Amino acid sequence: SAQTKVYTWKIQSAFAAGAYEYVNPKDLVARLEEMSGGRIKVEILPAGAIVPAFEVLDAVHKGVIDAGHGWSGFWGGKHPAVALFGSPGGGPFGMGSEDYMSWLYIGGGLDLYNELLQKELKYDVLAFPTSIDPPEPLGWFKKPVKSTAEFRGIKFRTAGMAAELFKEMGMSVVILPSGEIVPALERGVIDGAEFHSPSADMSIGLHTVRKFFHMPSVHQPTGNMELIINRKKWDELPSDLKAIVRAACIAETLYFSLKHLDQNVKDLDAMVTKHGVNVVETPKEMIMEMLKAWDRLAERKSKESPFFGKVLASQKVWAGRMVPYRLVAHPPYDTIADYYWKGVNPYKVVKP
Amino acid sequence: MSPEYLGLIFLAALLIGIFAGFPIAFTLIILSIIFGYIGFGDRVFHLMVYQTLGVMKEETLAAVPLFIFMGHLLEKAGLMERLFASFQHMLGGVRGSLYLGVLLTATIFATATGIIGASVTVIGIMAAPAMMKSKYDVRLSAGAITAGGTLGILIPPSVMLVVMGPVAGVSVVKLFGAAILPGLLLSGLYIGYVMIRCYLRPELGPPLPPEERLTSTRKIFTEFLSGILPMGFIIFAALGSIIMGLATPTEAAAMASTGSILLTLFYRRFTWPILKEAVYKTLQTSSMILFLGMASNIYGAVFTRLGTSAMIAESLLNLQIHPMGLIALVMLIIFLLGWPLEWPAIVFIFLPVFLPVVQELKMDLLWFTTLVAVNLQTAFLSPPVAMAAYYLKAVAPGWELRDIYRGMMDFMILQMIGLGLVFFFPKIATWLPGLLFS
Amino acid sequence: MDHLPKGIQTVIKVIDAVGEWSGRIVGWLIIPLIFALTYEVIARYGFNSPTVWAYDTAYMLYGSLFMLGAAYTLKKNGHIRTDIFYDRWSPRRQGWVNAISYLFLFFPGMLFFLISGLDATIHSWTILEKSDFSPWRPPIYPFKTVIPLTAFLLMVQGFSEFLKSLYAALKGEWL
Ligand code: NA
Ligand code: NA
Repeated sequence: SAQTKVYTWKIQSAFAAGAYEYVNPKDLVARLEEMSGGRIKVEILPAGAIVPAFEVLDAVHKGVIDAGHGWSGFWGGKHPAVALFGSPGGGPFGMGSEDYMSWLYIGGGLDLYNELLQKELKYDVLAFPTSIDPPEPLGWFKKPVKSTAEFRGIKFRTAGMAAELFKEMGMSVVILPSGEIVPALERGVIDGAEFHSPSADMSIGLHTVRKFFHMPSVHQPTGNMELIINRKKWDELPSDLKAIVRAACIAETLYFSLKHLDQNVKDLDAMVTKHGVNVVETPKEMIMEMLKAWDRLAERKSKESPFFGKVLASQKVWAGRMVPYRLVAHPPYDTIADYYWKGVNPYKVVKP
Repeated sequence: MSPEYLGLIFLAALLIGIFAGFPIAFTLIILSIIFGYIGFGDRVFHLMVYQTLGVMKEETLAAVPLFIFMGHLLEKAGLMERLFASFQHMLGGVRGSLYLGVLLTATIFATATGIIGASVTVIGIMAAPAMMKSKYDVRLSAGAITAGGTLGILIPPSVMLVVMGPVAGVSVVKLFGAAILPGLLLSGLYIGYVMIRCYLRPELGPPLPPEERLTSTRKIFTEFLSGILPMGFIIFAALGSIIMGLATPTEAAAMASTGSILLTLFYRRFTWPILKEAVYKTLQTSSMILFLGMASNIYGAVFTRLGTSAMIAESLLNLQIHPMGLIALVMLIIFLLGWPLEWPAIVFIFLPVFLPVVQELKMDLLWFTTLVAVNLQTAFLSPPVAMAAYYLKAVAPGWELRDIYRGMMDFMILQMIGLGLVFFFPKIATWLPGLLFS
Repeated sequence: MDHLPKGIQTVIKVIDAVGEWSGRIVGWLIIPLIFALTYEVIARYGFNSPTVWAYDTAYMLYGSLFMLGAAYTLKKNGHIRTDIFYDRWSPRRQGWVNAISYLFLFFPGMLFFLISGLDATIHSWTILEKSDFSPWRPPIYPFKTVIPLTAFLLMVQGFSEFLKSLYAALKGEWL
């Protein structure tokens, strides 16, 4: 009967086993198995085990794997609008992680993403967020960078829409999967790199090859990882298991994000105190330059692709409700932070 | 039947398929389709495409055709001839001077080229007639030429190491660093061996008669410099730039290719027929290696999807052998596979089967991969599939294949001693990369 | 060749010419590959401005080179085979083993390779897929087309090899 049938899935991640991001699908799978009382059984595999990292979306579409874990920036070549989901840049329009999350779940963002995957790109899949990510640091450099003018001539690893953004600002950009970044820095193929978060960066060893860690940045102020499920595999599930998958993803999205916050604090501390990493503050003018570059880029992309324009407009409308409300209703962050923590600088942050 | 056992039959079918003599790549593809289909249905067709794309997008492997092209062109530039001639004159008075000339030339050339066919052929063409004329021992001569010539694939840069890096998940750059000392160690063992043999039995390699030696030190020196200086240029482009972190292996291979074009131009050896030959030969050799790599990747993915790799790793680990004993066992298997098979087949098909064991044992992958590389070096000298022997036979038809085989065997024993040294003293492999890349 | 019907002779000749020329054209991809990567190094150190296109260009050229060269390599009998037994067999036996292998191992495998490669290629053309590797975002669909094209070239060349094997099987000598 439907109540006793066991559904066995093979899920492959686009992240390497050693990367911090791989904790996300592992926890998700444990949650799924527990919540379903063993009616969903999953074998979870790291990047490359069955298909290469960047082929995960296609492989789910064709059912080579039943579901895939990843981040939409890895399939950024499929459609420009893909990048607005996993890696929205430039604010997005002032939305923080919670606002972006509300756009995804309540404001129609997720529906737009599935429309993009299914209708525009003709993939037979469904996507569910599995994390909401903290703002990404600007990244790792050979020496402190004072202005965006210094971007010219730097060969830099990034991914998603940030690739276009950094290129817009004069960098020479390559997109490499998690396992290839540190080797490329070691060999000097690239000068600098940004990956994801202090924890994720530390998990792949970025702190061992570069010592100047710049933050903050607006190339990807928030974002999310995702579970992509093959349509047939999804349709096969009875409705209670569908509800369990949905709920497990939402629970993991929240829980992983909280865990990630804690881990980031621990790891940034360890990098500064034990590994000689210098945290460098990105000057305000650089942030302004990045916002302007993002707007130029977004405008151009909207002209090239109507669907990109549609998603961007949806984000702007949502931000137009969230951000003014936040400005009125939320107490001023700097005031409170300064009241309790003025002068506290555990990470010995320096200006470039 | 559980899928894991299906995978075992899959492996057995492959072994039978391999020995039927049909090109291995195509056998791999059809077997992957059949067993994949039985194991997990029509998904296998798409899996095949993604694996193919994965190999096609592996930028590091672009170094393979580039190093091959460089090797083909460089063999035409005449640099080895100059080097060999200067060694011949420099060492003329020493017992076994021609052996030494062969081995020194081969070692230096190995740091510039990434393939073996060229080295054995060119050294054979230059040295075999001189050795015959000087009444050198046939077996020792053939052994020195084949063993020396095959150093090109162990001493970096090396097409074999470029291919092994991605398969084993080890940085190609570190692998290059790790293989330098073992390569030089082998070269040293060869040289020590021929010197001892000639010291004990001078008739194996008599000194050159004085009238055949250049007496002008200046002339010898000029000849030596004109051989070694351009070589240094290529060595810097092909190896130095990688070690110093200035370029990726792929970029280095491209620069060395450009360098070899410039050198052949400079020495006025650059002609349309030579370029065409290099281009076509490069295509054929690259396709041979990489198409097999692509097919093996499909095979490996099906094997993993069936769960057989995990099962083999588990059963090997359950043998309760000491980790070092297990590594020794794996080395023995690879050594035996080297007799009937060529290195790409071993690297692409069998290395991935053993890797999970090594990972599970928490062994140093860099050391292990270097061991495999040294081990595979013996495959070139182990008959019946011993490419080095055929290259030599082709250019020295006067020598019996039987004598060539016998000569190779002695050097194979030296290689096994080298393998043993790297096995018991892992620092030989890991010290230099630790020094260079930390 | 005398014992062979004219039609079959012509088929073998035409196919072999196609295989030969495919290699003579594809082989030259090595030259732009050398140029692209050498230029990248010069641009990085000489002009302090690394290119945005070298990475994509390099893997596309290399991937096309070895795949499209497979048919030429087949014609040259260059694909790795284990010949420890094969070499000792009579031409007749070699011919039979080869012909049967082509029929049961080669053609079915290449047919499936062609079909699934075509499937992925068509999807790529439909969505006008771009590269995932750089913000240069060059189209990736011509590169994916290399897969079905390789399978097609191999099947064509394989047909000629099959005819040659059949000849050896029946006549006891290789053409
Ligand atoms: Na070499
Ligand atoms: Na062998």
